[in-house]
Amino acid sequence: MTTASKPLTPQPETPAQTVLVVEDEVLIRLVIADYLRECGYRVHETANALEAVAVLQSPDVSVDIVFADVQMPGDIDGFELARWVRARHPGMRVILTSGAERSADIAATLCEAGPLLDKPYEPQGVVDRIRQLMAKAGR
Amino acid sequence: MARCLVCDALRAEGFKVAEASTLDDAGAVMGSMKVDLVLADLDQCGAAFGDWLRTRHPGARLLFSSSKSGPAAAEAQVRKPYAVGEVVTQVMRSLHDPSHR
Repeated sequence: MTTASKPLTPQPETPAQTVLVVEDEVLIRLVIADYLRECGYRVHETANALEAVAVLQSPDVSVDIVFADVQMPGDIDGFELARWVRARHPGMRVILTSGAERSADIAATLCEAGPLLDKPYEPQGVVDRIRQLMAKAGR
Repeated sequence: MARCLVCDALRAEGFKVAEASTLDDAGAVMGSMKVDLVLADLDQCGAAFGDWLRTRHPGARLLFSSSKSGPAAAEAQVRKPYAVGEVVTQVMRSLHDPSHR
């Protein structure tokens, strides 16, 4: 933790929306989570799908969008997490990201906004995808 | 889940917070940015983490939390289960008190 003050310049774009970032690479997670916060999103972070499920099951946390890596350590990968979210939280949106091209077809069936986001991605690309999804959902 | 709530509360107070779920992650984070204080679960990290931190990052303050009691938790300043507000208070106290390392 650092004692840096709140960001000065970023303007909140969608302040009420909450994103759960599920990414096992801590430095990637750190960058995208920070960027999303600076864009005005509330962000929760988990390092794997099991942690994500624990957060999503908590009554203390409300999530609008799950942004998850496909390849993660543990028994549940991003695809399984997306299926779990669709079954348990039908209104919740999912964006998957992966460096593996073969994942695209499967992701297309699990994500409302088309295939997954390729890695490496630009943080602004993630924000664009989130906005696209939320607009589609009328939020 | 506890980490999620504590991090939220600290961000609400204006702190920049990086989350790490393993010791390797903590090392990677600390190698990539200046960290003023580490809040760590003693039960998960072990007391050796304190030695590592003091050696590698002597400028970073450390707060250990633990659900244990007795000698095993001698270094813990935050007892679990804790209220989130209690942790935030401890963090602020530690950061603002020069003798509190």
